[in-house]
Amino acid sequence: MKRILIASMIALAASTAFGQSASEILRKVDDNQAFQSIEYTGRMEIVLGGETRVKTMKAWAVGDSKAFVEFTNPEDRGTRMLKLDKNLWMYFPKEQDTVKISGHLLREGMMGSDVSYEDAMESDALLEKYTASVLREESVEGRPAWVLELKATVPTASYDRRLVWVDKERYVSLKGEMYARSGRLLKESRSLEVRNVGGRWYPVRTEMVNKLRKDTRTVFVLEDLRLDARIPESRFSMAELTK
Amino acid sequence: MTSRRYGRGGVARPRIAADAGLVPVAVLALLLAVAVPGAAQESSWTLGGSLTQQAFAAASESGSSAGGSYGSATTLEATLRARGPVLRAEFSAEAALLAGASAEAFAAAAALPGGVPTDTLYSPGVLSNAETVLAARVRTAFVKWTAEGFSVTAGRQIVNYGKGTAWSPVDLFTERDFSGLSVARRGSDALRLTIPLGALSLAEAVAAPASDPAEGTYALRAAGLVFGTLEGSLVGAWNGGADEWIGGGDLKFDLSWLSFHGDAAYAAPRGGGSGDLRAVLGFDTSFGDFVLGAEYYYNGSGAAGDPLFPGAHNAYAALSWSAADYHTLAFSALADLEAGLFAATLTWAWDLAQNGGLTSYLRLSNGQAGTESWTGQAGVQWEVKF
Repeated sequence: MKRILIASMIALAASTAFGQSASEILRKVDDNQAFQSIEYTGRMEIVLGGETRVKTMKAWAVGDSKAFVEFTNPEDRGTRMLKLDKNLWMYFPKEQDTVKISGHLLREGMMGSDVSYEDAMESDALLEKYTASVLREESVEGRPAWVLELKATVPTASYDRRLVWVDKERYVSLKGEMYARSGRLLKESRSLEVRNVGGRWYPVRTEMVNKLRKDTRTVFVLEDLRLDARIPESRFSMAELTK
Repeated sequence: MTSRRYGRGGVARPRIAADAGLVPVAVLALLLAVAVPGAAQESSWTLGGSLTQQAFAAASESGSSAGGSYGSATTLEATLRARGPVLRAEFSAEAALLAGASAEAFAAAAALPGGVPTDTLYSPGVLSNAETVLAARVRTAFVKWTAEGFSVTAGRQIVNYGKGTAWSPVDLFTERDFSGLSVARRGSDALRLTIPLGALSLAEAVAAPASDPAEGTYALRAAGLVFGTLEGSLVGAWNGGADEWIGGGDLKFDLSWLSFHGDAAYAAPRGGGSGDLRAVLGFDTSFGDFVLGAEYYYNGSGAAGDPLFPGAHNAYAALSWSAADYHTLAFSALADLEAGLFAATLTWAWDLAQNGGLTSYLRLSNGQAGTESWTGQAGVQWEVKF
């Protein structure tokens, strides 16, 4: 009984890192990255087997339930994606065809990248799907960070377990690891550049590595980022997708 | 297969008589879109396309005779798009230079009524043992006006109905082209009005009057999400050319990582009598680096409803494997189960660069064009996008 009590006290101490619980830290991360709306020009650099393929895009989003992306690189020009709540559609201009991305398609890499459609669909608010505890403190490229362990609380979470390295000063995820239920490492993410946008720290250059594939990574770059931009509701509709 | 889109006898038989009448109107409107003062400043213009070259060797056997041939096809496709706040216009055309067996097959098709789509322009002298053929057609030429979610599209466009991969009985307006390495859809001349029913559903009316409005096809359709996850549509149509009413619908849903889809259309003669059902059921899934899909197609209307697949029972299957970085191996097969006819294709696609790739293929088919012959073909195709 005494041993259990001591173990519980240690766990409690670990989960209240210097007065902040893991949930509070995660809430601040969520708050920092939460936005009413966002508008940006983006670039996806898909590195595979030593070669790099670049996709460019314009994107608009409101909260984490509505997003609209239009690809602008010559090979994919006019290809669009619409996310509305839990639904995702793609429009292919050459065939004038709209396809709902669902079922097994959600596991595929988005436009050949290491980011799956499922990743793209997942809510940014980690607290909604995971419980958190502080494992330890570490330095990530010179920046002190808490290492949070996140465990899925809902079956719709994309990963069973995640580790997140949270910048202690800026409350931004500096690094992440995503695990399957079997314990296998599936993906790794790193924030390569964090910028202050409108008083908030936001990762504008992020790398995702799919550990199930060899010699591959995707770097996602946000340019011309505008937070809380005014976006008309009509942007997020089937009519706009096929316009 | 002789070319990506041209020249197989009996392959590209238009369901709707093509009429180039609307095309010049669409092109004129496209030009007006730029010319209107003010609109030009807000519009964005893009020009893109692709250059594809294909070369192949074929061998065929029919009874006691056997023979070999080779051919090539070079296709240039260009698409010009203009987009403004409420107006969008698109003009897309392609031209192909066919040589050897490709040219011969085109000439043979041109000699048959409906063997080559009526919207295809080709070099004179095709019917007199041409060794090369230059053919061209307009893929799409339309203007789309959108406001408050409502839209009107006029001109040659691809009206995508149905969920099937190889077959979609409910796809009333778009001709499918099986001559390439993947199934392609042809545009049709139509006027389309779309009305939003909320963010995720719509109702629409489509009219494809052809050269004689009495011979045209006219449809009403409602499509959207049902119960939040099922994707489906209902269609009612009048096909003047066949003098029949058509009712149908399609559905797509997922069970875990299995996706199912189905299409069905029932055609009833205006004068009464028994109607014909055509239906498709299919699924697709993925596991690891493999993607698998299959379809079963029931054609109750025979050659009258589907001249390309007149048999009652047909099947399609495809399996692709991402074998290595930038390399995909795929196998697909189409079969008329009743007549024992099939066409199987093995492709190896190499995604060589951001804007281009190389595909080599082997194809084996029997019973082509109603004969007892076997045909084998090996080819290579490269494509550059710009």
